[in-house]
Amino acid sequence: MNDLIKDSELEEEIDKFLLYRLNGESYATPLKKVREIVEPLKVKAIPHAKNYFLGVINLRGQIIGLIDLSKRFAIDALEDNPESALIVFDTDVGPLAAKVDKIESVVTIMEEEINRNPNVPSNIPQNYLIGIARKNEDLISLVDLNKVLTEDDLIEVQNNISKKAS
Amino acid sequence: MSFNSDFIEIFIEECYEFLSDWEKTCMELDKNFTQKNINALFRYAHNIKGSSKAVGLDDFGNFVHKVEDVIVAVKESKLIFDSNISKLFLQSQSILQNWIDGISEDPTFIPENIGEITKYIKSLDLNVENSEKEQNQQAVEFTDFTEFKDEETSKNQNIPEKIPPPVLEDDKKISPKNSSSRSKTLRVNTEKIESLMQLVGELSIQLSIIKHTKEKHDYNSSIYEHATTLASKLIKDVQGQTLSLRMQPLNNLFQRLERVALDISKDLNKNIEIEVTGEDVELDKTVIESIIDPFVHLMRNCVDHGIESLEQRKKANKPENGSIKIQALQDTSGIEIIISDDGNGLDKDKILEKALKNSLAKPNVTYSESEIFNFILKPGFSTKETVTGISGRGVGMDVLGTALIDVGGKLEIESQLGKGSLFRIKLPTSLSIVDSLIVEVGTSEYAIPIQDLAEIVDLVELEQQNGTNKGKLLLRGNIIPVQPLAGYLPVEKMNIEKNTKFKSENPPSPGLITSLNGSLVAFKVDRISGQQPVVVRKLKGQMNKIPGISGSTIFGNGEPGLIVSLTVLAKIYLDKFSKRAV
Repeated sequence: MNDLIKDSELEEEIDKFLLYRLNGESYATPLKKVREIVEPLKVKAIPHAKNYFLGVINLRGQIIGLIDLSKRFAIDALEDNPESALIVFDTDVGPLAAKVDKIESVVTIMEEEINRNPNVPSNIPQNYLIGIARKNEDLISLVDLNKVLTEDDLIEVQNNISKKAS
Repeated sequence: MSFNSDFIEIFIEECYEFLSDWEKTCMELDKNFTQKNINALFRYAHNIKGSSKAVGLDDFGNFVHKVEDVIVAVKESKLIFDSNISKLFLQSQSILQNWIDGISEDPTFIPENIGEITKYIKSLDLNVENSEKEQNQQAVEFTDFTEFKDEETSKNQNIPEKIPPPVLEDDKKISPKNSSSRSKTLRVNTEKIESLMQLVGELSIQLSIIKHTKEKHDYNSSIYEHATTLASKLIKDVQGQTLSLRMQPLNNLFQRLERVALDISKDLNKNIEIEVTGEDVELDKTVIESIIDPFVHLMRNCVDHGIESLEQRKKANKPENGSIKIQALQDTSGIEIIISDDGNGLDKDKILEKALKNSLAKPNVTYSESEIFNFILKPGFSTKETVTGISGRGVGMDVLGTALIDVGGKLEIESQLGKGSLFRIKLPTSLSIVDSLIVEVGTSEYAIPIQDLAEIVDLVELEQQNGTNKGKLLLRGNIIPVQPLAGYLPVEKMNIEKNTKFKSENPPSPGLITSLNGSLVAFKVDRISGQQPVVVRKLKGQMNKIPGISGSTIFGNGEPGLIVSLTVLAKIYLDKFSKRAV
């Protein structure tokens, strides 16, 4: 009985990944925490932000932060890319968006297809990398975007002005 | 035991109200004993008891019943109302308040400290005369009682700090909890709701007219125009009314301050009289909540440091009772809360000496009176040599200063040595919509709350009058540093074409002057494009820690915009500046 519930949960949530591209490379992120995908919106830069934190966008009346995934993983970004899209996530501190070069599809990746300890160099910090999956001759880096968005420092405040917070 | 959570919620709300009245009545009784007040107190206790038993909170009801017995004894003149009894009533109120806070999370909650009070009450009934002695005795007996109680209540995780008899010092730590735990619900005057309903009703009528004319494509008719104008007016009214729902009268805050002052004055053996005016003035609930703790701190300072001891007051030929006034005034820009005392005042020389010692002030610089007083708002400043446990723990008045900057408030201090001090706190009435100046910096627009602005000057014109002064300006004899606002904002690609066009016309260069604790700083912007009320959206997560950005908004064109707090930027600048100079 318990196994049954586990199986259906796996099927529904754990196996599904959102596949997208950053400069031609394939990346995927668990679909569970993805709220929606929107077209690029006008960004307002904010002060003291890290270079990959682009600023804030107006998502139907809600002001949310936007990070540039290519910049975050130090991948050369495509200039003026008409296919770029924003993935909006639900995090503990409200929604946050990540900009990617192209959204591909939702794919099912089985546990046995994932190599959780790949010994290949990757530009993605190890703690965000779930593993690498092989699918139809394509290598897909599985990234825990939720972790990227919540654990990363988005703001860079120099010591002399962080006084206010202390 | 089974509890009906719906009923308990109603009971909790009701109880808070009764307890607030209880506290108020106790303070009145303390000032002046009247039969009317003791009758009122009896009524509150009786009602709380009744409703608590009705929802199945028997332990709670039994405790109230015991306190009620004492009230009845006082009411029937079997017991003399003295300061001990007064203290008992107030202590019971704190315990009940605390108990209710606990119940709202877990209905089986029982506070640890009821044992001692019950014992004390028991001792009262047995022997009225010896209450003082009994009080000490029961403190000893109490130890085994707690052990027993601990077993019983160990299931409840968040048992608050226990309150030791006879001085209930810890209730100050407990009381701030109320504000946070109560913020889920909001009591609103029915009149406000009714007028809102009325407006919404009217709005839907206008909308159906608009819809009807739209179907007929009759856009040019006067009916259509009339309906749209009316609808937009109604929307504005709805907006105003909705915002006013968050407005709460200040009486709860003031009552809290009064209570704090009274408790401390008893602990310190000082006699005080508190006068409260303007408690009907309304303020946004979020503003009230963010200033409660700093105000409590200010109040403690007033009683502890401000009001002198009895002997000192006699020596200074002052009335025995120290007087503290709490006032609220409303004007167009917001509200003003004034807390004043007739105590010893602030010692300018002592403050300066201390500021020099802590490197907050620079030697060889003459400071104005207000500049000296403002040193007490700096972190790590405390004038009183001894730490009393009530105030002066190092985390002093700077808490107030920081809280005020966060809500866009301002503080002015007036004081005369030996005569007393006055703290004038200016606060905005609401945080949800702020009247702002829209300015252009580079290619971006930013909103700057009007309340942050002291003055706007034309830097070009001033330069022509007074000659070029790089980085500073001369205004009515004051030298004011000028900072480009662009230096504090993200670097964006400048639109060169636009810039050169402006240059050739020799446009005015607006300087926005802001004042922080008496120091002025001017910020240079490229252009002022307008003034409008903006709806504030709080930035979430890490973004709300960006210094100088107090929130975000959506501009008329649908683009996100940032709200820049000049006061915070001025603080950053001044802090940097003073560090460099020392």
